[in-house]
Amino acid sequence: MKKLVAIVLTLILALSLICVANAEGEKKGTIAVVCYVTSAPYFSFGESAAKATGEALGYDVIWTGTTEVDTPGLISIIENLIEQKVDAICLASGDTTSVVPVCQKAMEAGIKVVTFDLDIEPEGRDAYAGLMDLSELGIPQVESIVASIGEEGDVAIVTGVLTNELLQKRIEYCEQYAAEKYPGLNFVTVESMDEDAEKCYEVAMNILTAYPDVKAIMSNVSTGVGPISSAIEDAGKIGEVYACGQSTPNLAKPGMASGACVNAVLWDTAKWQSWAVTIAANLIEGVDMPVGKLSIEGFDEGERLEDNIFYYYETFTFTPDNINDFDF
Amino acid sequence: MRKILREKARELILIGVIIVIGIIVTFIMPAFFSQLNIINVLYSNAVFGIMAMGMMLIITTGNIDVSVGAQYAVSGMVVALVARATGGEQPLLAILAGMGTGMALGLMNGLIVAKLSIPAIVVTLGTLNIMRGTLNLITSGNWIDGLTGPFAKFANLRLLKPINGLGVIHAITGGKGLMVFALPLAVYIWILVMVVTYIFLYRTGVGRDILAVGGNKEAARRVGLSQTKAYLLAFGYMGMLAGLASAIAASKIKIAQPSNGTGYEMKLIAACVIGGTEFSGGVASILGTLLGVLLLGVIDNGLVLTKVPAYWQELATGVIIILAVGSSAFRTMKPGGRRAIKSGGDRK
Amino acid sequence: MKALFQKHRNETILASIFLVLFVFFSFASRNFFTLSNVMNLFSQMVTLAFLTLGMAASMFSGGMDLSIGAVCSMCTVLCATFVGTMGMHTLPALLITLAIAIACGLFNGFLIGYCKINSMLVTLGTQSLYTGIGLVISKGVTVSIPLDRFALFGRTRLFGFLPVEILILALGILLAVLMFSYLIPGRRIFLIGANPQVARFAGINIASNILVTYAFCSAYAFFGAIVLASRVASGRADVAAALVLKSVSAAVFGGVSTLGGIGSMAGAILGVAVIQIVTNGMDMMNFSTYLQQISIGAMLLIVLAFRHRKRH
Repeated sequence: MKKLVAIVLTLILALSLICVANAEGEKKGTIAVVCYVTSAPYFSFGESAAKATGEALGYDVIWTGTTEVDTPGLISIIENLIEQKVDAICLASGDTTSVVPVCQKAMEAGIKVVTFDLDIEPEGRDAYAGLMDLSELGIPQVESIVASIGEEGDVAIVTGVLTNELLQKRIEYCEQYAAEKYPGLNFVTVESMDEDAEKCYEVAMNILTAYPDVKAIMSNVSTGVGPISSAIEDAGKIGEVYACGQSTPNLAKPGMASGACVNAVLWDTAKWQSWAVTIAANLIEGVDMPVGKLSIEGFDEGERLEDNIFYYYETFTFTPDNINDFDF
Repeated sequence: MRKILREKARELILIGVIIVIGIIVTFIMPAFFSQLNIINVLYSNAVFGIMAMGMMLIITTGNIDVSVGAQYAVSGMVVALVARATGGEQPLLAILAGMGTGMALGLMNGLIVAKLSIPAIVVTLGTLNIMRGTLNLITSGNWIDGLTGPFAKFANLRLLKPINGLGVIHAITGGKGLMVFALPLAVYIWILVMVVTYIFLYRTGVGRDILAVGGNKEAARRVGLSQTKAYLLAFGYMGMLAGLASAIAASKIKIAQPSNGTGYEMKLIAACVIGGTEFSGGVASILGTLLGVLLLGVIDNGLVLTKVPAYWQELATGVIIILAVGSSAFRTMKPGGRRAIKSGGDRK
Repeated sequence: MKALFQKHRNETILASIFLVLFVFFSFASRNFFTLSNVMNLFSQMVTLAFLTLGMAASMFSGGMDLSIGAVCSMCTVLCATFVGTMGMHTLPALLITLAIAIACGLFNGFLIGYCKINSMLVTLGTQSLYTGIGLVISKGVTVSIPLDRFALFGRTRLFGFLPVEILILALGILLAVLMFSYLIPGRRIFLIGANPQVARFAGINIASNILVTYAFCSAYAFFGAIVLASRVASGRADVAAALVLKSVSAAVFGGVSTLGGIGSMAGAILGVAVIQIVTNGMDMMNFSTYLQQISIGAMLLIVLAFRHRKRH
């Protein structure tokens, strides 16, 4: 027993010495990028881009988050980052309010908090590195519907999960925008795919059966068009029903090849993370970013608005003509 | 007749519940009872149904495997890798690769449970975390997409054509023909798995060993049956089926995600137990498990078709599970409201 | 002293592992050994701890309450709706929610104890049921609580550093340990789990004790919920779903047996503490969350293997 204790203690000492001996390189500081669901390709695609951007600017980058949606876990991770005294936290949160208290703690500790993807209450962050106005994010999706089926018809929406605020807001804005500009579009239902591609396929099949007049199934997340297209193909409804909305290009390629999909939209999710890291670095260094158009390298349309909001306006529309130019 | 009624009471109740739900849904949405929809329900649940056979075997040995979803995800990744590497031209190779991976993972589970005599639910909790963590680590959450070729087609392959000869059939089915045999290949695979499971369990020595070991460990041991062998077989079979199911899924949606299969284990356990497989072991019902899977599938399908708002679906599922479970528990109560308590310290 | 050690061997070993890890991480990460991090460590584990204590109770009786996460989530939705949306005062909101939680537990207990249906099966169904109720009440959205309300249980520190939730947890542990290690109702539940036939012959009313057990589980789920709702200032119908299997892992790690009748509340808490310190420490060392997942799985298996060897 004594021998065991002795060996264990020695091991501990040795291991801890090794860890402490890992000296840090000449870096200006550390930026942490925290995503609320790291297993989603939407976020995991951005890991290398975020790290590359950070390191090019002279910072160590910690890329972390909760594997699945886990709000208390996310808060714990942020608390731990505060303890580690990072210089900035770039955060994509699942909702707008639950992380505000812990972000305020971070700001009090002198850490710059920059949100991306979904913004949180303004008192909880130093800046929102956004893509564009959330309400306007629904616009490309609705336009995708119209480009596929015209200005009239029944449309079903498939969303990622029911409990996600960003997704819900986007649906609301889609419906508002359509009501104003394309009153001929009729949204018949909103179903959830629970972040599972197989469930998405099943849901799409069920929609095709329950709503025989539906003309378009719009995906509210980037992972839906693929399974929806498969369902349309297998049900033999190519040409009658279209998959549209958000999609990563690789997932949309089979659908575009078969004709189940003619139009899909997205933005470069990896670039969004780079945008957040860049803004964070600028904040740390106190770089002046006045309201109005900004000249930040790599982001041509970068702009700063009131309330510490930054946009960079780059969405893509994919069609069968250009889809093979992309690979992500 | 009465004997059949009593012995098969549970299965009959389940068939009754499914029919009742079917009638209600068809009343609200006639499209429920269309050939297309019924085939769709079968096709959607083929993956589940196949894995449920494996879970049934495990529960029969008195164990529970919560790492099934992870085995499914890992095998799925392997299948997709092989499919992508071969351009989808060798579907059989990809399927076998998946089944092999699944079986290896299952055997690992079975070995640990058999050798360490730790309750399987706990062992598989540990292996679940290890498998998922390793998979996520290797893939960084990235998935494999763009699967093509014969591989991407086999799940929905219709080998037989609809029967459309007679004029009367033509009239009834609106020109589509009687599709009762023109089912997707995936459904045929499901049926094949059920037949194989039946033969394995009831017509081979090792299958009967599994039943015996599950029913009464002590007695089985005294008779000389090997618990280790039974466990290895059951867990290995489960893993192999998880691999097969993941191959079908990958073919169906042409994507493999590392996060696949999350939460499957609970639903599989529910289906098995609704179908009459008991946690105390030794009792298995292939028909019952099939009906359990179908019941859950019909509920899911029916809720969407009756346009129940999405957030009511979970509630409805829970109510129906409780009713199904409660009513069959009522039935198996002996007069006086007492139920036999099995010895052996198994869960209540 | 040695006798005490022998009797509580499992707990002593777990406590030692905890201390060893504490020392290790203090050296391995420069930010680990600070007052605020240690406080974080304990406050981060409160919800899981409550759920584990509740789960342990159900496991002692020979069953397993899988609905504990759903009850917890539902309670967060209820609290958020009462305090946030409806503007109720905190105390009545808490009392009503607690009452509802206990009702859920009694429903579970009724089905398991009186109708004698298998506990895993019942709680699989009630898990969907309670999650569903939460979803319907919240219409699937996250219900937020204004930040200035309901801050007591998750966002307040006494004397500047001591989180209130740690005190609440301490009380909860005390109660649980008292009930299950020293008081008669607890001993009865252990016997039911260990050997139901003997319990019946001893004249114990199994059904009513099962009722009490599952009411206890749901009550503890409630306590976990109020801390959780306070920490995230909101309620959501699926917020605690992932904690169910985690609580089983923690309980088993702490020595509770899934077959019933074996284990202790103290062991369960130590199980949570060890898992928590590994998670927190690895975060401090910037190990990927995937590595954390693998480590916890491996640790579980290793500890179980060890215990098995000792027994044979």
